[in-house]
Formats: sequence, structure tokens, C-alpha cells
Amino acid sequence: MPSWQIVRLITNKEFRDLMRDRRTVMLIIILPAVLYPLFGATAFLFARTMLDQQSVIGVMGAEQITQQAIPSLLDGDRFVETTTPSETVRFSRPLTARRLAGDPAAALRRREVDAVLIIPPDFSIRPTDQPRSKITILNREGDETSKLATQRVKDIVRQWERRLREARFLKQGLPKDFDQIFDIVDPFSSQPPVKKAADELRDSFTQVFPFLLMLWLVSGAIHPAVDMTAGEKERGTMETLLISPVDRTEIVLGKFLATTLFAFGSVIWNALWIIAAALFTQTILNYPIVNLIGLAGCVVIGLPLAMLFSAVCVALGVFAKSTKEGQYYLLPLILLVLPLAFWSMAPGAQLDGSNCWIPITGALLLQQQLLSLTQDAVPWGYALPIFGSLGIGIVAALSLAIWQFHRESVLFRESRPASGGFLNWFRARPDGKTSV
Amino acid sequence: MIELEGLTKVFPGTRGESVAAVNDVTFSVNPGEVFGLLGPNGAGKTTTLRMLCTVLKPTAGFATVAGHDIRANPAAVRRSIGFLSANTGTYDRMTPREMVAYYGRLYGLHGAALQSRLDELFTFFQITDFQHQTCGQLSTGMKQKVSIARALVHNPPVLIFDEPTAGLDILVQRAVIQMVRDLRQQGKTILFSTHVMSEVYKLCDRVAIMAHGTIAACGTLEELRQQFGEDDVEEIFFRLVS
Repeated sequence: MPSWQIVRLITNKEFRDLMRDRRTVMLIIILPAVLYPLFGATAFLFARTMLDQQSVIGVMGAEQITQQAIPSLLDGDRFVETTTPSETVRFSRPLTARRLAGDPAAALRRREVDAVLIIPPDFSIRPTDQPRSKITILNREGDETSKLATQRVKDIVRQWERRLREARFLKQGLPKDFDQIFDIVDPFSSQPPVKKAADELRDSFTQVFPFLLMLWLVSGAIHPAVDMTAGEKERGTMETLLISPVDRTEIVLGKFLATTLFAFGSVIWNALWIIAAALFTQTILNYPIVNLIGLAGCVVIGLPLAMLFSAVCVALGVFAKSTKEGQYYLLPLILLVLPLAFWSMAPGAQLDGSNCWIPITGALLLQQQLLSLTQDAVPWGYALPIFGSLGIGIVAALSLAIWQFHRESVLFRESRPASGGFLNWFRARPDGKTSV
Repeated sequence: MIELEGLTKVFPGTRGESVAAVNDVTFSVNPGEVFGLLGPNGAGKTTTLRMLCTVLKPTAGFATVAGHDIRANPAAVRRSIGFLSANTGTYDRMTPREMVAYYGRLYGLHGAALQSRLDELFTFFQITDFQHQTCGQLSTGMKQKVSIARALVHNPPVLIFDEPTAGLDILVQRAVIQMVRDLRQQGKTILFSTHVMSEVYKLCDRVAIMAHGTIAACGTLEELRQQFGEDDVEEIFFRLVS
């Protein structure tokens, strides 16, 4: 039986050692503290810039509509914009119209305008005129500003068309919504725009947060595991530790717990920043985005995931002779877990009997369920297969790590002749010799 | 005391054949004695020492360290030895005091007994001045002093040194040699692996010359001179290993 006093001693030493590593502290602690506010500020600026966009639309044939006694599309050099309650995006500056007479493509090329609205000379709104008149919109291909201006002018023209239709019905003594056969009552149309925005944010948060959490766990486990295994071999401290009276199982458990502690700690630290941002947004929008109890549960489920990743990283890390080699072995781990994580994010993916036993996928689906604000009961019935599969994974990876720590060929690769096989090819040096 | 009898270590070779890194090695080291293990690189010295430290398992043969069988009771063996090599590293982000204390605790020392032992070692090896700097900031010589203190923290009866002066400057080499002499005075059993002949002359009471995994000769320097009819031990060494 391992001595937990020794395991704790090793864990404390390793964890303290990690916290003194400036690169680690920079990567895991300081970077999120700097990057998240920076991302937030950048996103805010991006949104502001987009909404403040000053777009100029070239209009050809404007006289065709201004001469007719119909609801106007243009008010001088401004487009007439109307909004409906369902619209969520409000631009702070009106679209500017510029009368164009020459080649519209040349005006676009010269960037005099961001899009061009062409009203044909025979433009007519009479229902009897066939074929119907066509209004054309041109843009500058591959230009984001032009694309945004095109979308915006298209929306305005659609609004204008609706007003024209309403005017036509009223003129005929019909109700303005005469062409509407029935009303649809749905949960979205009647919602205020801010509520819709909050709901969309919440849905994205529910799906993305467990995924981010998993990525933080993997990246939080890789560096410490490599440092404590391959790094120790490289620095020449592993042999000293093995010659001490400490049992190798105790060494593995100490390193595993320190890695778990670090990975889980980095998740909590990152989660705090994300939660702070979500709560800030929630306060501004005044609608719930974050389910705090669910979030706490979600973070707690991160613990067995942290244990799984830590065990795998320690098992693979010890196989490497150097930190560099360790990174080669461990970085693909991210690629291996991504499909399992994406599975949980597939549209319509629900926690059920077929996926609950899959490590990572089942846990992420349960986390999503916990985060959602729906009134559905959390399917705790699946907890046993979810945690059971994670538990089996942890025990298997830890057993592999302990086995690796008992293998002379792994711990003292430089001390023995190389054995053949794929791994030697993998470790081969450019001079054709193996690196062992 | 250290006793080896027919100790053998076989590794699988690149083409599946067996390669004996250490083959039928027999010798013994007594308390209060420095026993030199001489040999060129690849002679099997480090593999022999690693078997005695229980980090490698012998393929055949028998060995005891401080009365403990290396196969049957490896934990007791490890508790009885202090190991130092030129490649022994230090934890760059720990101070010498933290690192030696850490190993002291792994060996079961605690509280006042540990602190007293640290003070004693740090004073003896003149580590006190830099005991609170991180090891990453120390020179190679300072680091080696810390490693020596680490190897001795639990006051082991048996010491195994694997080329402990390799790569050190002459001042630190002298300090290490002096430290080994002092330890001999204290009655420790010392196995000293080296390929530096001057260290053999200065330190070793008896030597074993290893070549190609086997013991080619063993005895006091005088016995070797008489056995090979050659006054210069270095010449005997070259004759045996070439």
C-alpha cells in the first residue's frame, strides 16, 4: 500500500515546483488574466466598429422612385430605415446614398461607394405591369465592408417593399396585412431583441463552455506531466528519486495528483474569468445567461476529466527521454480528444444510453445539460456509466503509468542497447542511429 | 558492506540477440574502505552500480548492500545507500535547503532532527551562503555540493559514487575527494566508480578493473602491480581494457 504521507509530500513538491516555473505561470495564470479582458474589449470594439460602420451606397435611377407618389426609400442623401421588434442589430449611423450616373463597377472599384443600388428606368410598382421590375444590388467581391453594406441596403429595400405593399392594400381598402394568411405565434418573434440576444449567447455558452473546459484541462495537464516525467529524466533528477526509498507507485501517484491539481486549478482560474464575463454580459442584458449551480456542477465534472487527462499524460510523458520528445507524444492527445468533444457539440446531440458510456463525450453532454436553463430534470441516471467509464479510463491510464515506471527500458533508455520496431524508427536520429 | 557474486545483466540487442552489459561480476567492499571501480566508458560500471541501487534488476547473480538482498529487499537497500553521479541533477526551481530537506523527508527525517542534519551538512560543505538561492542560479560546483549533501542527508552506511568528479573544476574535484576521505574516516562503505587514475591513487584502498562487462582484475594497487609485474597501474589498466 502506498504511503499517503509520501504521496502528499511528492505532490506538494511537484505543485510548488510548477508554480515557480515562470513559463507555466505566464501560460496558465497570467495569460488568461490578460487575454480574456483583451478578447472582451476586442469583441466589444469589433461590434462597435461594425455598428458604427459608415457605408455609402451608390444609387442609380433614384429619380424613378422619387417622382412617384409612393412611400419613400430615400430622404435626401439618407435611406429611410424602419425597424421591427424582432430586429436585434441596430446600426448607429444611417446609410448614405450617393447618386451615381457613370459605370457602377468603376465606382465600386475606386471605393467611392461600398455597394450600388440600381433602379431600372422603367421601374414601376403597378401590379398590372408584367414582368415585375427588378432592383439590382452590386457589391465589391471579397470585401467585408461591401458585404455588410449590401446586406444592410437589401434589408432596407425589403422594408421599403413591405411599406409599398401595405400602402397598396390600404389604397384598395384592404387591411395592410391583407396578404398574410395567418399569424404564427412562436417563442422567438414576440421576444424583445435583447432577450433573443441573451438566449443566443446562453445557447452558445452552454455548448462552448464544456468544450473550452476540456481544452483547458488537456493543455493544463500536458505541460506539468512532461515536466515531471521526461523533464526529470532530462535534468537527471529522476534517477535520484528512483534510488530513494520511495515506492514507484507513490512517485506516480504524487506526480499524477500534482498534474491533476494543476490542470483542475487552471480550469477553475479560466472558468472564473469566463464566468465573470458572462455575469457582466448578463447584467448588461438583464436576462439570465449563466446557470451558476449548473456551472459549479460542470466544473466539478471537470475533476474526473482532469484525472483522466493527467493519468494519460503521466503515462505517456515517462516514455519520453526529453521534454521535446514528450511534447511530440502528448500534443496529439488534443487531436485525439477533439472528435469525442465535437460529438457532444453535434446539432441535436442529447445524452442517452448510446453515448453516455463514451469517455469525454458523455461527460461533456452532462455538462451541457447542467448548464442549460431548461426545466428538464438533469439525467442523473446516466451518471453511473459516465463516471464509471471515466473511472475505468483513469485506473487504466494510472496502471499504465505505474507499469511504465517499473520498466527499466523506459526509465533508462540510454543505458541499454536499442530494441527494434516502430518506436526506434520514430526516435531515429538523422545520422541513422537510434536516439537511445 | 557490499557483496556481489556472479552479478549479471543482459539486455536484448538490436537484432534480438542477448547483450551482457555486466557479466558474472564478483567483489566485496568493506566498511571504512573506498573501493574503486575502474573502467572505460561502456565497461558496465554504471549498470553494476544501478543494480546495486536496485533501479535495474540483475539477470543473474546475487548482491547484498548493508546486509539487504537487492532482489528481496530493495526498499531497505535504497534506504541504506547514498548515490551520487556526475549526471545527478538538482531541481532548478528549488533552493538547496528545500531540495535536501525534501529528500530528507523522503528518507523519513522530520522536524528538529532534519533541520539539525541540514545545518550540519550545509556547514560542512559550505552551502550555507547560498542555501536560499534557487539551484538554477548556482554554478556546477555548487550544485554538486548540494547533490553530495542530498546523498548524505539520511547518513547512509553505504555510499555509491558514479564518476562524481566528471566535468567539475579542479577546486570542486579536490573538495569531493576530501569529502570521500572524510566519509571513509567515518567508517562508511564506499564504492567509487571512476576512470581517472589520479583519483584511484588518492582514494582507493582496493580496485576492480572492469572491461567488457567483466572484472578483469581486482585487489589493492600493490597486489595489481605484483600480479602484472608492472609498477604503473595506468599501464595495467590500458593492458586490460584494450
